[in-house]
Amino acid sequence: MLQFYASSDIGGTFTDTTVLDGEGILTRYKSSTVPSDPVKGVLATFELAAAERGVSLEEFLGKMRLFSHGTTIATNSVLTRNGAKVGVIHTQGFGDTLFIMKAYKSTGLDEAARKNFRKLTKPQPFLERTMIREVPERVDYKGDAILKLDETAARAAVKSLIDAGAEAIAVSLLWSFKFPDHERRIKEIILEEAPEMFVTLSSDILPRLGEYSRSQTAVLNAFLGPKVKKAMTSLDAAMRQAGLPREPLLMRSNGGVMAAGKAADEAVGILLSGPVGGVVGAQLVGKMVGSGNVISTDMGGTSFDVGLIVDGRPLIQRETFMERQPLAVPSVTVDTIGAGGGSIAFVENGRLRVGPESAGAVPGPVCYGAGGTEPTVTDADVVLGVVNPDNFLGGRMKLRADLARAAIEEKIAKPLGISVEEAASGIKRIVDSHMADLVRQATVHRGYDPRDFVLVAFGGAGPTHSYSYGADLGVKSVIVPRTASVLSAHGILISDLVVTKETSQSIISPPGSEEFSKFMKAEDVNAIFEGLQAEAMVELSAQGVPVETVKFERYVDMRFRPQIFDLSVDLQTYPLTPPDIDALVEHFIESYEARFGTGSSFRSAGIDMSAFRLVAVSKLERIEQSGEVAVGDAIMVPTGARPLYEAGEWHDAAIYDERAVKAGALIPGPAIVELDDTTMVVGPNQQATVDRFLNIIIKTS
Amino acid sequence: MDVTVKANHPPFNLKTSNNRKEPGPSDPIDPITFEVLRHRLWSINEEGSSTLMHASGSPVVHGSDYNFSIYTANGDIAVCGTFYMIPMFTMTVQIQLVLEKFKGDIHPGDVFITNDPFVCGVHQNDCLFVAPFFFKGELVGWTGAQAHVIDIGGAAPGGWVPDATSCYEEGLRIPLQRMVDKGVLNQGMWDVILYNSRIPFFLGSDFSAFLSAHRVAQARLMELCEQYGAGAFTAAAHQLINDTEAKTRAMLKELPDGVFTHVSYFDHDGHANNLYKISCVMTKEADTLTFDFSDTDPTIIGMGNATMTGTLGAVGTVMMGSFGQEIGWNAGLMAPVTIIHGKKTVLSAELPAPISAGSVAANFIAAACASVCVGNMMAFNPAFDDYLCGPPDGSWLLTMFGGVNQYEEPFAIMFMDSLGWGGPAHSWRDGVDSGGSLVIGSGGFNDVELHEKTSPIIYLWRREVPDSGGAGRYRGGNGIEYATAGYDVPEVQGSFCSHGVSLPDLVGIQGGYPGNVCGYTIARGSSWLEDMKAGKPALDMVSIGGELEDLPAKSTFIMKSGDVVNNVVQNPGGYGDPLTRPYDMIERDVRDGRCKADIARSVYGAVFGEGDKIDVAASDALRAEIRATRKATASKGRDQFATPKKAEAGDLQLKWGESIGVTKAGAVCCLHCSTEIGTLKTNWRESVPLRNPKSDELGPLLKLDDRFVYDQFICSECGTSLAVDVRRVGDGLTVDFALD
Repeated sequence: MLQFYASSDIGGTFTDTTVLDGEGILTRYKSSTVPSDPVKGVLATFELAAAERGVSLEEFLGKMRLFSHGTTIATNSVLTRNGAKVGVIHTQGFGDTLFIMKAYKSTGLDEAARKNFRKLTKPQPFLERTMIREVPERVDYKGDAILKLDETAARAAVKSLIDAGAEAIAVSLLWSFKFPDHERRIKEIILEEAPEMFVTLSSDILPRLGEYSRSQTAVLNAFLGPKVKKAMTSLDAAMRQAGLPREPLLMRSNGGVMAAGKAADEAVGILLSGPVGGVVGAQLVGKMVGSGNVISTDMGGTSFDVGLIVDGRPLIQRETFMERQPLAVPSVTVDTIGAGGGSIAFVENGRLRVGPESAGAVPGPVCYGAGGTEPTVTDADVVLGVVNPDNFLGGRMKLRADLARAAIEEKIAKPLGISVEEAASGIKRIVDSHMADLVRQATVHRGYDPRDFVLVAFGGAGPTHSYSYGADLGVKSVIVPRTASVLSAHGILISDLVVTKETSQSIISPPGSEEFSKFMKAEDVNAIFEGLQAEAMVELSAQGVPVETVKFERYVDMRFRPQIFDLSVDLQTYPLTPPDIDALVEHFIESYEARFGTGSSFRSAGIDMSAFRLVAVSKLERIEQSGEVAVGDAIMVPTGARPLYEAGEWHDAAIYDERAVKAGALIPGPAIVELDDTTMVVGPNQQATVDRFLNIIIKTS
Repeated sequence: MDVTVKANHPPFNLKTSNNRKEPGPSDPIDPITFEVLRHRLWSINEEGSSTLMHASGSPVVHGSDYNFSIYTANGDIAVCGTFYMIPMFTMTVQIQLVLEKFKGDIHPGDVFITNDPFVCGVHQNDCLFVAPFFFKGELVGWTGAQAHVIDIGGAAPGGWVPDATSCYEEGLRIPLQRMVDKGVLNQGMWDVILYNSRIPFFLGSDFSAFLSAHRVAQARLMELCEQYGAGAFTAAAHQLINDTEAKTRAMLKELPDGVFTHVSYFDHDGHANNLYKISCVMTKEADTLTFDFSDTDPTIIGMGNATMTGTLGAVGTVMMGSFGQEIGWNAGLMAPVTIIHGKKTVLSAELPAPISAGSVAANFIAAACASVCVGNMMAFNPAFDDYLCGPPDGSWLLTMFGGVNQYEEPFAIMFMDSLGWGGPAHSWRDGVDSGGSLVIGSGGFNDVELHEKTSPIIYLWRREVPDSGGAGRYRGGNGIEYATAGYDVPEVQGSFCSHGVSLPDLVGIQGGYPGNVCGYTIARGSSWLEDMKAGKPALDMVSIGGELEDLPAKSTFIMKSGDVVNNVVQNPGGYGDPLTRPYDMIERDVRDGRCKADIARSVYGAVFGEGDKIDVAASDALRAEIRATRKATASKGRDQFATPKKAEAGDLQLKWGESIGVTKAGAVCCLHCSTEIGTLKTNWRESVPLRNPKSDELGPLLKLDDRFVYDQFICSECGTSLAVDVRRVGDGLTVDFALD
């Protein structure tokens, strides 16, 4: 039966699409993104896919059983500050919350920026200061409304925001997650005054303690909401007009997809959709090679993103930062540094430095010949023979090796008094070690040992550099997947419906006692999760999900009483009995000591279960991807050889074309595999194997 | 750095001097490996820092009153975090003392503790843990972890004891001792310390965090040495330090030789509102800097002292915030620096002086004075134009509550909210609002909800105060005010300790005005809660009823239900004459509520016309009128010319920032209107007109005790403000500099 499952990752420059057909065959397509009309890029890739199958676009779409996509629309809106004009309503006396920013001015900055006092200033919140209103009301820490909402004042505040041109309104009151009534009443008032107004309540978007992050997240949601709503409506219409018989799905930061039409209500939840797609893709690659512990590394032109899959599940974080401000929705963890092919190398005081400044796409590295003058990592790769100047991006772009060489000689080699090769090799070594440092932070820092993980490398430059940074880390193996250049799209394709619900409540045991279950009642925890489950089911039912297909994961954020930071601990069993509570505490202490060292826990300080999170997963029906049959000792024929500079000397590296890669083959290093859109390197003392899904696996030992 | 630590607390009586003279041998290191290791060391230090913060999680540590550093084998800072800066320097001294006291008896797995301000600490709450790092049996370096623990005993919760007469009424002093012996915790020591705290679980959690941070960072250092060798670590560390030293010296060479001075006063000693002079004389010669504080008043029998190490840390902080902005933070920054402490001054207190505010009292003023001196020097070289800013940190507005909380457990809470002071105005931008500190540059505070959940307190407001930063072409950052009361408990003990209540500690520069003073106001027996329940909101201190009183700079007492304290932080000064502030910036500030319209008029000379637009013609006229008034109310300077004359282009020999120049013929010249005002003899201030404005002319929140006066120096021709000083009546005119 003709049927297709498809996904697109609509990036800033390219739209990547993967298509899985009824036989489980996966194919991939790339097209330029049309920023003004993102559907165009998607349809262009579908045209390619349809043509390849000899069917019309309409027929191809008509047979599509699932279409998921990831989009940078929200991310771009944040980066370009192009969103709705937002008004915010706060509790009287606390209207400056977003601007005070808890006094932090260094959040999200690197070492150099944090030390540069004269340039150290706060970021701009996502609204004007004139768009803040305060209303008389006050709720205390127990959730008691000690000052009832002054509705007359609230209405006046709403009207004044409307008069000031508000296109969206966020409401964020103190303790609203304990007592949401005041926020809800204000929403009613807003909708009475302006029925079409986009409204975000902090108690809806983030029912969690901490008014700063809650307010910031609510305001950001309001900033993005109207734009996302418009974009999703027009995408849905355009896709259906082209023949798609069902609503498109949209990738979210929590690692799952949702109906695109519902995305605007939680617009902040799609900010990381692209990078998270990559992590889910890496999770799949891990599954293919039989490893539940995966480090996902995506090296592009300007940034290097790291994700973690532990025991088969992506690591979730409660809060991340965007434009140096908190984005506090639960999301798949992605750590980032400014290291990529475009990172600029320079000599300062006799020392070689690389990044975080990037040459970007324009003018790009010197070798692009587009006017770039500062040598970059890609220029070094060209000099070292790692990248083939005649076959970059599948030959779509010719690189100027002479310019790269001259720039490195002039700006790096001469000032340092070393050869051009040594300089280029130095650039590469530095950027590789920076990336390895980030992976160390992402793993070791959280209590995980890279030696227990496989590393998946993708993105334009990941496969080129992974043989080196992966080896530095001592991971079990480095895997470059067949879909390395479109792995985010591939991850989006295999993502299921995921709904995450969270609540901040406190269940505590007193200091001095270790009889945890005596004070922290199993039935209280069960009741909280029942409530969350009911909420999640409402949302999933609205998307037509049958109840019986839903699987739940449950997490409790725990800490020792005197602490502020929590560790998330997953429930091994449910519903809980009193002994399970004690076991849960032990589980927490184990994780704590894994992170902070044996003997670091302080159990007599008392325990605080401070937040509860439920992840509801509804598996989408899909065909399994089929692999090729691995032929023992399959032989791959190189198309040639070229000199590769590594560890101080030139080597003859065999060159393989992507189409020569065969399941079951062995690739002895040094070797270069020229994949479409990226280049993979196997180091001189390494060798790689090819599995039945055509993933290339370097054993690093 | 030339640190002379003379500890009079037995068994130490030793001198350590310039530890940078012999960094010891190290392997050569290629520039690429160096860069790889530099990044790796920073990453390790970050991990130490974040481990400390996460594992401690006390709201004070979370508010960044902590730090973590990696040191060389002899105790030099190699890499250092960006949080609370002062103890990073004092741990250098601690390591030197450990090397001396425990010579031959230092082993892998050891951790050494002290909090003794008279030995190498800052104040009792700042606990310092240093741990030797060994690789293959050889001492390679040290890791240092520090944090402010909330309570370590003493007469008042939190150990801030305003009315103490000696350190024996304050928190527990811990001698320099081994806390962990070859990996085994010294349980007896641990128990004794925790036994003395009101909140032992918090203290234990902090101490565990220190140990975790060392453990984690040293495990990473071990991996680094296994990969690259211990020699590479040492070489990279020395290279970092040498680079920084070379760059600091190079910058110094570009600046004029001379003597730069600044004097300020510490107000209120916990017993009475006495004043104590803090004096900094900075001498710059070739590529060296000497900070001489010996003309500072004698040690206070009360609250406010700093010890020599606390002062050392203050100077180090200033060096990082000025010379260190674009180079690595390590011992190299202090290599060109000598500190002369003087004997038993407010800045070099010895046992048994009270020292509980040793971290944030007189040494903050020492740092402010040193900052002014550095700025005055940099103002002579246009290459440093964008470095110019006034002193950043004036006073810590300590507010501490303690007692029994709503869960019937003992509690103590220090409000890090006080870190919400503004940043100084720079020569090219306004100061950062609410959060501009240098001393905890990467710091911040906690959510209102977090404090209300864990402690029996409630906030009535936390907001920015308009016009609280000093006025200027670029204004000082505005700071916050926050009102707090006990909640759900019958009473709490409050401790309120600050300075800068009687006078602003943070002057403006280049004619800018000082920032506001700080202060505490109490409403006793207010009916805020009953009012709220009856539907009446709490708007400000007047609206909540009760008896209003301005508290002295230091006090501690029991707060009853209904008592509310409003805390207003002190903020930095402005840069340049406020009458030169561009109208669009004033418009924006008024529109955003950062400046009130009446202040825009009275201080900035800006008149609003229709809507929210400034009437330029009316404003120009008002500004001219203000200048005329200034001239009319000024007295002539001693060395002022009878008739000013226009300076010729090319006459100028020296420029000092944007206000004052000196011609080749030795005349003081106004750079705003190119007028030669007077002849330069001993002090440029004698050459120009002087007036003594009242507080309300300079800003709505300025206050000045009768014992002080503002000296405003203006141009005799254009009336532009050239400098505004805060001078004690009876003192001579301020002398900024004397060039060689």
